[in-house]
Amino acid sequence: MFGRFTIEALIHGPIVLTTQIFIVVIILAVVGVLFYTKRWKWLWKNWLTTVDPKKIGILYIIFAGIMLLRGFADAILMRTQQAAAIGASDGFLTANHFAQIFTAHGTIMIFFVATPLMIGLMNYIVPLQIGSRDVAFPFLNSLSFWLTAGGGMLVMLALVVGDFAPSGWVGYPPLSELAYSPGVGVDYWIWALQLSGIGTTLTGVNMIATIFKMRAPGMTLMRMPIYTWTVLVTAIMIIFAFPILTATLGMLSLDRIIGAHFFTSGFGGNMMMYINLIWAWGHPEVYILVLPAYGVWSEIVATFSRKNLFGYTSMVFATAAIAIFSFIVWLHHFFTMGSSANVMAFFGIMTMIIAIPTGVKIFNWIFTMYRGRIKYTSLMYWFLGFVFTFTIGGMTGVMLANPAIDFQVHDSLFLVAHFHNMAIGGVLFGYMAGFVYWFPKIFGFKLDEKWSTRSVWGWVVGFWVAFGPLYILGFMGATRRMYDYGAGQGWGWLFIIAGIGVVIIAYGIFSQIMMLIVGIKHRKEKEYRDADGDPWDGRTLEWSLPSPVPEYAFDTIPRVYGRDAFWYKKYGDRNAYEKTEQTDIHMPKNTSLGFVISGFAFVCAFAIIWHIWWLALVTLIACIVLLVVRACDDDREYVLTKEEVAEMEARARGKQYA
Amino acid sequence: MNGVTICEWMIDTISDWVVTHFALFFPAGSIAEAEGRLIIVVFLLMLIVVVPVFILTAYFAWHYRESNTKATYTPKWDTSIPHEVVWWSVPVAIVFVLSIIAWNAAHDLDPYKAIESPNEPVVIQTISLRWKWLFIYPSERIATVNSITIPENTPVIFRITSDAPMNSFWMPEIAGMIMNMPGMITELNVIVPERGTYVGMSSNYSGEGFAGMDFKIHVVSREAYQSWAKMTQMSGQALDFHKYQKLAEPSKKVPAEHYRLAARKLFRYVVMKYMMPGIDSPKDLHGEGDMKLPVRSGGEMKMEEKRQEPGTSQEAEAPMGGMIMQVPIMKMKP
Repeated sequence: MFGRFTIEALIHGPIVLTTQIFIVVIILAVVGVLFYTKRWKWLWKNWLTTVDPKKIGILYIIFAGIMLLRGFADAILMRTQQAAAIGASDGFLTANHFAQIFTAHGTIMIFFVATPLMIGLMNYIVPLQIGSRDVAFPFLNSLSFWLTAGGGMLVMLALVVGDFAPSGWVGYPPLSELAYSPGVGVDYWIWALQLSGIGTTLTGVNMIATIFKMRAPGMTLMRMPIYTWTVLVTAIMIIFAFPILTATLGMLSLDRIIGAHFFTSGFGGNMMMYINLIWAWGHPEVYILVLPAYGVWSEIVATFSRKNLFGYTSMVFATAAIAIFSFIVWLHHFFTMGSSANVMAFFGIMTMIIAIPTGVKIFNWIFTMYRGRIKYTSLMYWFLGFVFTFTIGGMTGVMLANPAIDFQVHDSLFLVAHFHNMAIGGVLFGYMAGFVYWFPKIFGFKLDEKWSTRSVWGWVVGFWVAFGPLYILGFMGATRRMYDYGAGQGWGWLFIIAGIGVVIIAYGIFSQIMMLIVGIKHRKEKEYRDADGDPWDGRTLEWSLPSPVPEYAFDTIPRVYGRDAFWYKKYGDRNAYEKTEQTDIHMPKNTSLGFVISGFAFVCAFAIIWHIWWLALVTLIACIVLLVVRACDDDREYVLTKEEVAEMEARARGKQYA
Repeated sequence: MNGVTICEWMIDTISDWVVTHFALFFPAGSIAEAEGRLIIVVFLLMLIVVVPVFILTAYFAWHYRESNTKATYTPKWDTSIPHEVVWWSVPVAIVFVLSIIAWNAAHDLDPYKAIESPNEPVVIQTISLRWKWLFIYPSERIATVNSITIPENTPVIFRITSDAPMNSFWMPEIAGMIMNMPGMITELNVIVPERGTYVGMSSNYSGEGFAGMDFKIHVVSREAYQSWAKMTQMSGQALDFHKYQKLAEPSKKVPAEHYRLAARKLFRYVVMKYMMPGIDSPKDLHGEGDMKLPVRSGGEMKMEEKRQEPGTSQEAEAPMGGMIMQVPIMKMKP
């Protein structure tokens, strides 16, 4: 009846018990607040059933923020453990607990922080940048978010009900197979990734259709903002790469559920196949994460240098080149698996070739600053922190690309430092800067600049204090994922410095929370309020809209005659774009199906994990039936008449100037 | 103590510490030394790009700030073929040089590449268990746990597999790492010109006892090695199949042990049990003991007889590279 679920799954040690109590208290608090403020209907109508990409974007970003706290807590635990394990001590975490923590940390940061942060910004900003009101498939968009949230909830649930996987964020067999991990942990991991992976794939589909089919008249591909270009290329990469993940995890779950032998140690299974497949997805995945961040940097540098982005065409070309090459380098993740020298040299050379278009981008950004007139806000400080940090990370990447060097640093702390260098310095900095950059457009007021600048310092200095020692440890022959290490190695003091780095990053996060609080507190004051929708003297179409953006976004779809049309219109060229005639606007209706189907999918995944087969079947059928119901639903729109729109627009603009 | 002596003392202490701890830059093995030099060379080449990026970024960020009204401002300047040519072609040139370096290094430092030396190689079969290392010396007919003794200046050929989840065999002061996988054999060729004691570990997470999988490598003179091998052969406990089964049970932080080898087909059994049904002990290896295994050699497959004759060393000619894949001949047990 309950599969392999028993009450034992809820019983763990004191640390987990504290977390369980904490989670229950938070849930009760949220439920209490909702009852007290009578906001259940508001929550349902405005957030749970919305198909508005602006709201879905905000949901993604809030979700990413919450998961960042959990992932960061995992990081604190790991750093503290490794600092405490100095000398003869072996710290305060068991080896198994440490393994679950490092697996959860990687899984959460990649799938439930970086990806939703990226997709959240995409959802809000891309339609506005191309002069569209919505994405191509609003319902699919809602489904994408709620599936991702469902996946995240599985990881959170694993903390308190059962165990999580001990096999790392990519889950190599045979450790992730039944023989060595018979429990529920690896299954939690598989299904969390399957749900969110489907969500991401659907987002890829959505973005491609939106960008190809819904641009404003006159906006050719080469007149699009560069951020939208990076999103387009990324979306194409998503639909090529993510199916590999779905299929590979599907095969692993067949191994675990019906005893298949795709990747097992015996009976014809081949773990090398898993490693190849997972990295054939995994490498494009990391470029998927970073390319839109490059787009954000392009927007920021051009805007704050008050100058055209240098080399737009070659930026587009470089982005496409990076995307294509990212699919033919995957073997560099396992140079140590024993391929022939020819194979390894090929993949090493291909990997180094990607450094060329990346370097071109960096020079293009630098020469955007050249002969510009740079306005220094926290966004430019973010950019400078990024250039310094990311360039060094790229250099260590080229070192790793040499197979013979990799033989000595693969799976060492040098590698860990490198990928955090790219993931934090490139991806996270990019989306955190994007958050600050576009925040006024989304909410109508700027974040506190002083605290935002302090957060840059916290993150950049904190990153180097936390990960610089790891580069050094790598050169000392320290391997990764060790909860304890020998007393005589001489590594302890470096782990302590790394622990201090985490404290400095915590200050960075604290500053980000403060910039929100202070911004919210002063939001109606002149220095913070976004009075005209254009707080940064922006260049692209989203800055022509009121802040916050009304539900229909554009009261009339503009007709565009060039790149950076908004900027040129402001500075002399009145024909850069024009407003077309006002018409009635057809808006998609809210629907609960995205939320509900994802709820069933979540329960289905839970049932599969715990082998509650009847429940899995019932919920799976429910998902399919509801999808068919949605497909047959013809009543999906409501109309805003042009008078209603004109009134709403006047109010939105009026509120700004009031 | 005068100032000069304190300075000298500080420099000595720091450089001693650096030399002892930076395994990758001050290694003992020849392979590791070549790999360490590569790191420095690649790093220096990359500086050709990184240093101008830092200088230009810092200078432009400062010079073109808003408050510097004397700086030129050209808001529409966004194309320049000469500039683009420079920063496409310089990285291309550097990557070209790095590619040649990578190609050569991948071939010269290929773990499967036999090391040329007038001395006869020593073969060590390496099995990663949960959570320790078993090393079998087929010619010397001894075995050790969590400890290796090898002669200086002699090529050592490690044949590597796993009877546990995947691990990765790493001796940072001697050579790069290579993975251990159940049912497969990988290979690592090393040579160590310096005597001494070095540390090795697993570098692929394999479960709870992973962190305790460090082992020692003792590099001794050739004479000392011969006498050590003979002594262990005569005096050690027997490693037979029964003892092996006990050893394979999960245990952590196992201290070094020495055995004489009483089950000569042990390594082959460990590999084959994952490859064919019905192999529950070395006794079940019938003709498979003499099976021809394909061996990769410089890119082409060639078949080679693999037989464990007593007294001879494993290889007459060492294969030049590649992973030895098992091609099971489908003989089903009745």
